Amino acid sequence: MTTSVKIGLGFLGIGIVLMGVGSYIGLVEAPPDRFMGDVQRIMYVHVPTAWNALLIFTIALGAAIGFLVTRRWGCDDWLQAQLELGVLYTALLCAQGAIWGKPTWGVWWSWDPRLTTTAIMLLLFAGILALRANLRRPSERASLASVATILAWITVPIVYMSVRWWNSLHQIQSTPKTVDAAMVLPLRMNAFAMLFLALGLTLLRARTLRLQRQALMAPLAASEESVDKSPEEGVV
Amino acid sequence: MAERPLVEERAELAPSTKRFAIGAIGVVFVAVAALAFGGLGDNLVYYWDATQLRENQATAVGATIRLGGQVKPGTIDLDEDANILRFEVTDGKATVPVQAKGLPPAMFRESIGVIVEGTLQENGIFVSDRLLVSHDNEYRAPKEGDDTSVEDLAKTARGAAEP
Amino acid sequence: MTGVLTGHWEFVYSAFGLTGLSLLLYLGWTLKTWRAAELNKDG
Repeated sequence: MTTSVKIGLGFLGIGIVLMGVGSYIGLVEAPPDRFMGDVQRIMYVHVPTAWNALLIFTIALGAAIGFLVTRRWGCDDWLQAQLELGVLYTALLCAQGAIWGKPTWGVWWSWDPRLTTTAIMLLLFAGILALRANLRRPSERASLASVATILAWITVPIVYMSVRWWNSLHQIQSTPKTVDAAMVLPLRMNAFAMLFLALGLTLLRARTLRLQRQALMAPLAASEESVDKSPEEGVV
Repeated sequence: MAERPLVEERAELAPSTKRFAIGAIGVVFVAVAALAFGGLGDNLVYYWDATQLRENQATAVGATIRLGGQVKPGTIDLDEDANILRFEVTDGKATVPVQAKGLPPAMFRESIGVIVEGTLQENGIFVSDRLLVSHDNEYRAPKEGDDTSVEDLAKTARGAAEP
Repeated sequence: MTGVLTGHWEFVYSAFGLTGLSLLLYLGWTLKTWRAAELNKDG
């Protein structure tokens, strides 16, 4: 196993354990909210998902700029992995939000600024994944997706600030001051859990994408010159 | 055409890619700045508050709009026979009387944030066909003791709702 | 009208269940495709 895979599996292990403990504390040990009751416990998955979704898209921005500056394929592998994870997390975010919204707000969905901008963010990044899936030439795929990611990232600060810039149904961000101490611990644990899961999955996906890209490009290369394997290429 | 391929670590980019990338970064900066400082999003309105609705009463009548604000304490009146809920929405300055159908979401109470969808009538009453309850960013355990029975929670809620 | 939401654990379990299940499915697919890619490389 390569080092990155070992680290990735380690992160996944940490993430799974942390998520288990954090969710147990959130579901069993933490108190219910005085008004929302037990339904408030959805916060322990919803808020970590939100933080990490925005963080993942920001790492994707870094990978996109990194690719354009260094032209390293490794950045493109990371970009693809971040796009997949960001879309997964954001889709989950919308679903969790709907499940939380129905009993509290009274509706599954409303076109308020936070929800609308989040939906746009999801569609834009899902669109980039669709674009990538339909481009066969690796360099074209990487450069177009990088530029598109920079443009789509614009939605990240807009989603974050939407509850402050406009009237909205969604409440503004919580701070440790507005959340009881007993609720902060499971929230933080699950936030780190989802971060470790994202990083672990990224390392595994990046490795997979690297191998797949090499398999795609190697036959073309072999016809021109002998393939020199990069030094970090280990044995399984 | 065959990709100049390989297991090379670096890709070759078309000359135009860098220009597009710089352009994209420029667009992002300008757009975020325009939203944050230039008021680009000022006409994006999810709901009106009571003052805005009163100021624009003439144009608002008849249109389907959203009104948002707090439920004014002491104004809730549930007519269970007629299935009509009456209360006043306030933003601290102006108030608008609201008439809604049916039972509200469970968290509805005095002083809570609400958003009502509906139309403003000629007589100044806002007739709502959908009532949404919003929540603030505070998450607190029930105050009294460890007993979280429904009755106690309700008591806590009523206490907290008093001004 | 108490102003307090009580119970409704089905919403809580749905949110946690959906999140956990989705992450596990994506993890499973990630491991499967990774293994296939490693095997493919070794020919």
